[in-house]
Amino acid sequence: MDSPSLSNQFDIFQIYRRYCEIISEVYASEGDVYRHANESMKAKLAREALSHLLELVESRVYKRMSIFEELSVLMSKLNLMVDSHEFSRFYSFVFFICRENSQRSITVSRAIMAWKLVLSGRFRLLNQWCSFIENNQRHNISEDTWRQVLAFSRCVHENLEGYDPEGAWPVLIDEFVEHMYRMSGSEDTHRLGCKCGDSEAQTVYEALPGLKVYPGAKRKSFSFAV
Amino acid sequence: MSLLINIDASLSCWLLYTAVSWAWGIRLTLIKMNERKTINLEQGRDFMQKGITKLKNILEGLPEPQFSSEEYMMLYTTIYNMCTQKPPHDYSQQLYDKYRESFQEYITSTVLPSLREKHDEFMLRELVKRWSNHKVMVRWLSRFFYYLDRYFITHRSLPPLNEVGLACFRDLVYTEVNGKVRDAVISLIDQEREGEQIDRALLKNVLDIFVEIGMGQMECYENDFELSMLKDTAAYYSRKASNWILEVSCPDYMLKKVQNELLSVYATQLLEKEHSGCYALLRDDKVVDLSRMYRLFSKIPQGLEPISSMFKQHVTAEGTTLVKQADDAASNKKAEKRDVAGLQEQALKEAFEIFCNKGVAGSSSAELLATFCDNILKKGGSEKLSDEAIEDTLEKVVKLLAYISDKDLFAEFYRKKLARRLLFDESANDEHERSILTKLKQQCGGQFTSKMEGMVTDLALAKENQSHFEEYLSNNSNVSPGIDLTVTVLTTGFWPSYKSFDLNLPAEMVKCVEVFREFYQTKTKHRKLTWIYSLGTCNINGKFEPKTVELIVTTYQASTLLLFNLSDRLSYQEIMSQLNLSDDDVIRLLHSLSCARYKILIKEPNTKTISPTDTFEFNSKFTDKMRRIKIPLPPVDEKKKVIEDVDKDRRYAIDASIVRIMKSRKVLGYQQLVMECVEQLGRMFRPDVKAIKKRIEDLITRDYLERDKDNPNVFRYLA
Repeated sequence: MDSPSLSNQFDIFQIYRRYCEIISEVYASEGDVYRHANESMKAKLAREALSHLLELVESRVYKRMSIFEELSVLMSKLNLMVDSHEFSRFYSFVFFICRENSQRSITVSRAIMAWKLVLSGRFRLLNQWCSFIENNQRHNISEDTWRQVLAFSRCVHENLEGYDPEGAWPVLIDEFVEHMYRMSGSEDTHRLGCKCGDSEAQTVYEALPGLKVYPGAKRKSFSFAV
Repeated sequence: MSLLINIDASLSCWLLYTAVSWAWGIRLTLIKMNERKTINLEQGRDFMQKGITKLKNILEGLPEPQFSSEEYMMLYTTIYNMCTQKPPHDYSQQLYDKYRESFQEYITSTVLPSLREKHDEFMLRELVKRWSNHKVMVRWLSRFFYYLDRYFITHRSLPPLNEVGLACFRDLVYTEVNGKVRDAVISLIDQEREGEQIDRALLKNVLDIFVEIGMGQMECYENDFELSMLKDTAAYYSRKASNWILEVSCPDYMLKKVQNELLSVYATQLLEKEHSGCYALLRDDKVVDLSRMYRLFSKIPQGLEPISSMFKQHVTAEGTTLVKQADDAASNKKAEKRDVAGLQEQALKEAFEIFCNKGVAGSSSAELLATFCDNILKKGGSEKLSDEAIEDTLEKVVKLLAYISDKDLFAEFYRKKLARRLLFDESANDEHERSILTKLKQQCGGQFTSKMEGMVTDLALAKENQSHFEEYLSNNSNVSPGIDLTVTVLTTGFWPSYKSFDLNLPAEMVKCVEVFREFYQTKTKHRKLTWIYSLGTCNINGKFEPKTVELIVTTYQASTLLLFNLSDRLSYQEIMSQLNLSDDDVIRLLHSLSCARYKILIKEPNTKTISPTDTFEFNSKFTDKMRRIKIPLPPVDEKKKVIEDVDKDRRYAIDASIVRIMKSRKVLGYQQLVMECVEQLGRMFRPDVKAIKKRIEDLITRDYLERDKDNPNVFRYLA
């Protein structure tokens, strides 16, 4: 398996297929009574399988194309538009393939390139997001953040409606939303002001500072406890 | 202005002369018996009038030479003579009248006209000038007529000269102008309220007149000024308030820092404002605004009562709703009642906490409190207090700490300061040190103080260790390093972390270190010694050409100076490489030795700052009148480091807390996790929700947690 000839033949389609196999194995037995007992074991096995796969990917000496070109080829062949589940899997795969030197996170520049490739047409704030990350983020992007960006792209609208400030969004996304409010606040408060006609937008706007102030959060949980 | 200063200067001389003239007076009395000619009233008056006119001219700023001591003597003597002549030539009464008339004449002819022609601020300025001139005139004239005060006035129980003089001004000037003055002052104050720049010194001087004219009584000030002033203030602010109340919401209103006056008038109205009043604030948990409301209203008598009743209503309302929601109403009601009482306390506490946790001028309350403790506990601190007062203050500090949310930050700052006190022998009293630690322990728990207690104990152990070391040296005279050496062995974990660089010690000190290490080996073999040279001090003898001076310096400074035993001249770069220190440290060291008060080293070029191209030379000509001097090395500002350290510790604390919670709960919603985490850590600090979020993310990457596949707001613990 380690011989160069073998790994050279390993193209992006094969890698993706193998990735899908490993992932689906982990989730195969969902709803099982022994799920919890088995889960950690399975997850461990899957992790091992994935890191092995990654080693193989990295050992490919001969590359005709960059990883992003390969990904766009793969993307064009997959039927991603119809099946959101399929797209999620592909999206996770992109993170996987972008990992370097078996690190668990990916560099900012790679993440931005990947986002621009895979989320174009799917994330209304893609340009703003990418420029925000480019200017403000120095640390690598973790897998959790990567995945939550997809969730964020699906539920958020241009005016940031649909973002729940009390939710467990990664800090990077919270900061992006704050940044967006600040921008719209300085450029055209008016547009937001019009939106404030419906109470929904207003609560989002007001609750935002509550992110930092503790009392807001406590209030919510107080009613929760009773 | 310069004239006034001159007068005062000569006056102080005069006081001296009065004493002399007293002696003269006696001699004159003796002479009088046979030689003195009787002075008649006309002669005396004319002579006096000349002196008085001269005085007026000086006050008016006309060209006139100063009084010479002879002139003064002559004036005094004339009056003395006129008062001591046998009746009917005793003119005391006439002179007393003349004294008063001089003032009256001057005031009506000069002072009043000049005041009448001026208005507003200019009138105030004139008045201030006239009043101060008048006081000078009173002082002078009463010196001329001093003899009257001594016999005539005392015998007849008349008002003394000084009082007569001031009364003239009061009766003639003050009664006429005080209404005008008051109005002018109040209009100035109004101007300032509107944000204009006014001459506050002038205002103060004018008000001083109101006070001084009462001659010890405050009535003039109170009746003629204060009353109207208060009325005006009330009117002004109620005007403002009725404007504001239409324009702005309640929180903004309170922000305007209004005075009690208008708060109490509008209190009820304010509190009951529907959208921004007390209820609304309570409803929306606006703790900042509530605490401001609390502070403002607490200044008004009974001001808090409406708030507390509203608060009670609010709590009861909340409580009732909660009770309704609850399934088992009967069992919950009792618990609810207790909560109501608890909640009220809680709200007061919260309000106070917010107040406490506001930083002052860039320093957090935690830091300020620690600094305050340091000031009390160290030698020669700014507070000079008795033992009981210190105990009492410490007690209060510890109580106050309960409201500080960043207790960990306080602890870290306190530890830094404590370390300095202990290591540099700056602590004033060991008992107080232990006493505050006991108090802190009672309030914050043993974990909070364990390190600090460790530090205090360490120091006691170190003293013991030192005596063992000295004993060891006296028993093994062959190993003695030739220098007195005191070593304080500290336990790493207890003390703040210090940078320990590999400073290249001078050979003499290396020997010391070796000797001590050998000694320590004999006691224990399982401990590693790390030398913190940055905390050391050295006494070294500087053999300067004029004389030998003992220098008290830090180990770093000493090492720098000892380099010059081997070379006459060293460049910055050489010093840095020989010491093996960073640029920052070298700059600080060299600055303290060549640019500060004591220039032990001569810097080339001779400037106030250190640059890497400078060269240094031993200043053999240096001397000082003291035999022993301390050359201070300004400490590095540790604030940033302390905050960084605390931040790092907090990250570990949050991690530990999250893992602890998740280990027991296995699966938990995000909000609850944050809440429990805040609750667990609240005793030490108030964690930022963002910080907790970051730690959760980090724990996810490290595979301690994962997000639930179906609900991203739920986390699972990964064993």
